[in-house]
Amino acid sequence: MRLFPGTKVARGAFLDRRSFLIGAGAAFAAGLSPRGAEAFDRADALFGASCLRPDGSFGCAVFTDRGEIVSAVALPDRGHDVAFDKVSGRAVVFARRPRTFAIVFDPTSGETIKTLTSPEGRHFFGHGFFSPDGRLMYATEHDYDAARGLVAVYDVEAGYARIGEFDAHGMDTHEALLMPDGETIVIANGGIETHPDYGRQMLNLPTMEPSIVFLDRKTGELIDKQLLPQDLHKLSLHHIAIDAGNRVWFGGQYQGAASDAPPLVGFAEAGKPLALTELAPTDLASLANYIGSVAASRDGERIAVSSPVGGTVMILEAKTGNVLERIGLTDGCGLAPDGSGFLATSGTGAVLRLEEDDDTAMADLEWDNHILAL
Amino acid sequence: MSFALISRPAETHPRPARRRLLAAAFAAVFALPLSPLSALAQEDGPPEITKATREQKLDVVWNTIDGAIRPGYAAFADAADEANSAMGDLCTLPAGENLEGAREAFADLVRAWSRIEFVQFGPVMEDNRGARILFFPDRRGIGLRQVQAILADKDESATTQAGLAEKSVAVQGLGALEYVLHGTGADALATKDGDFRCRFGKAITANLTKLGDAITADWTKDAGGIAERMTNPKASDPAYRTADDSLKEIVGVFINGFEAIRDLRLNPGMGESEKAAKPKLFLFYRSELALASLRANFAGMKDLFTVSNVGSLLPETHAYLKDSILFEFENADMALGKLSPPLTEVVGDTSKRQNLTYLLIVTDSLQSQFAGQLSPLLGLSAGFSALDGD
Repeated sequence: MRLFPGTKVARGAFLDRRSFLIGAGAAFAAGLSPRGAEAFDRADALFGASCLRPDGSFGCAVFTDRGEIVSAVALPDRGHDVAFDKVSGRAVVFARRPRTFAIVFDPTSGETIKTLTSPEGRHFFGHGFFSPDGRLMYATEHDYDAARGLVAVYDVEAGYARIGEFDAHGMDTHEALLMPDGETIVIANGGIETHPDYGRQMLNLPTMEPSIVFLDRKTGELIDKQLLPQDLHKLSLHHIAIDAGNRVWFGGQYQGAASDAPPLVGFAEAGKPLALTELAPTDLASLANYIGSVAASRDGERIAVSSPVGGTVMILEAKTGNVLERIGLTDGCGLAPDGSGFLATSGTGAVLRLEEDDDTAMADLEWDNHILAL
Repeated sequence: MSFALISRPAETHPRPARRRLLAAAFAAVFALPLSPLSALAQEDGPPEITKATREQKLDVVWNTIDGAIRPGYAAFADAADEANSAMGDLCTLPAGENLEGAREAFADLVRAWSRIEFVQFGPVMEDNRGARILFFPDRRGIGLRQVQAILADKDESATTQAGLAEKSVAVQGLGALEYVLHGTGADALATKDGDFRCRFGKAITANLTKLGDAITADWTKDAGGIAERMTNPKASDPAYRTADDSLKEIVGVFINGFEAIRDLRLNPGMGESEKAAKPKLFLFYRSELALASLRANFAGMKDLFTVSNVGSLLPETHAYLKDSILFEFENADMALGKLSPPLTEVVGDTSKRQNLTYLLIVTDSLQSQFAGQLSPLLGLSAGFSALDGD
């Protein structure tokens, strides 16, 4: 069992099985179906991810790092990322943009506890997280007529009532995380204007302006906003993870000419210009101008980035930005810390413990873009 | 508003066959290389991927470049040059006849662009050339306000190509030219009062000519140009490492193109019903060229499909898909043939509107055939619709 006291929280709440059992996990384990309980018993940790099931329906599955499904919840449409509240033991799966639902569910049983709907004129962007005390849930949302990104605040105890929204100071607000101080929200604004009247079409490529923004989670006050240099203004920033040194690593999705081969990875720190990591041309080419998710290892010393387009997962040393490992994974996108390494999933159903020698497990479903370590 | 209608239009016109296609497309977009075939397998038995060689794939890429892309851009550059001459004539002699000539040249230019506009990779992506040629949609009316401001202020810096190229992309291309020739006050072009407006229009056509020439030059360059890079892919090339990378660009034209027609050209103007139609959201509604542009879109893509011979790469068991795609192109032709301009009237009329609704269904079906069937059968990982990313 790996517990790293003082470890920086990178993607929502990490919990290994032991601490999980001490906290909300006891109830979780007690609520499992016999088969789920068996899988849980063997597992070091559990994960949640949206998926497409063999019958063509959408869901969100809770699973082990060997690809065993512990529970699943049905979704009305395609989901995106998951957030976990370790205080209540509940999870929330957010709709993929531009859809308007988020489903609170019990990961032990897959039972839907509540379906949230974004208010008129808003849709979810697909990511969110809970405050450390479990009282508030934060979700990235879109005020689409004004083309304005938001972080909406939900009161968990009041039945997930939506009690406010913060300006995200950019368009296309995608992933948001809580910094290890528990007080600062960091946001990746992709910078792309969309509107549900036009499907998922990108409406402002010549003027897009991605950014990394830091907000006070209690007041919504802007702490800092950092832009990419002008020649990289088409590098949409959607995904982030936080390393041991509180640096916010981002992975970009380039909307300019493919042959530009811009840098795709870098990190942000409040009050400092964005730093870009230089990758060898062959490494860059293998990422195909598109990074689909970013995760930090539990100790925060390594960063993993995935490119489902390039079929590549790459692990970098956070301190230096050096590439430590390259793993080929067809349509590989989902990433989460697992043990001392990472777990990766793919659209073909693969569940792969990176840095381990074991075989790739295949689930009988197609994993969506993200996984969360519960 | 209903997202469901807009993002999955076929569901509002449930037809079992289409729904299966849609499901296949969805699975394909969701899954990438292996799984989309499972969606196919439900209908067509065990999956099979093309056994075409690298050379055969690169032949398709070459056919497309030399047989469709190069002539397509060359025709656009020629049409821009024609429009530039027509604007020159109008500015020299502002008379009704010359205004007609300029408007006709504009219509030809719109058709030429619409045939090739969904080739959205390579030279057209550089320096925002594509957006300079056509900035659409202008959802918040920013471009329109900028064009109106240039006209109201008689901003001389907008009357030279070089000056115009420094301005917002939204005032440099076809949208701005349409307003000059067909927007409020355009009839003044037939008189001396239209002098400034005409010179602004002439700067736009000069700019379009320059853009067309630049794109054409890039595509015709031999050594080190895009044509060589795509037909001779190398591991060291950031964009074209393998024959599949090049082929993906070609197939992507159809996948992204039909998506764009659906999301940008049909759905917004049609709205959910006759009453909810928003005809001013059709591209080129002012000049009543919306339908002409759509016809050229489909004709251009059909030409690209035929000339590329991409259907020849299909595995034998699925060779029929080529004909099935051509059949769907015929259906689009038929629907387009039944429509007559202006589209702004079609959307509000229950019986005429049905042809447009049918065109929407055919568009979705074509998109599904390329994204959900052809692409996985060619062994191309999806990822693929540029809009699938998140």
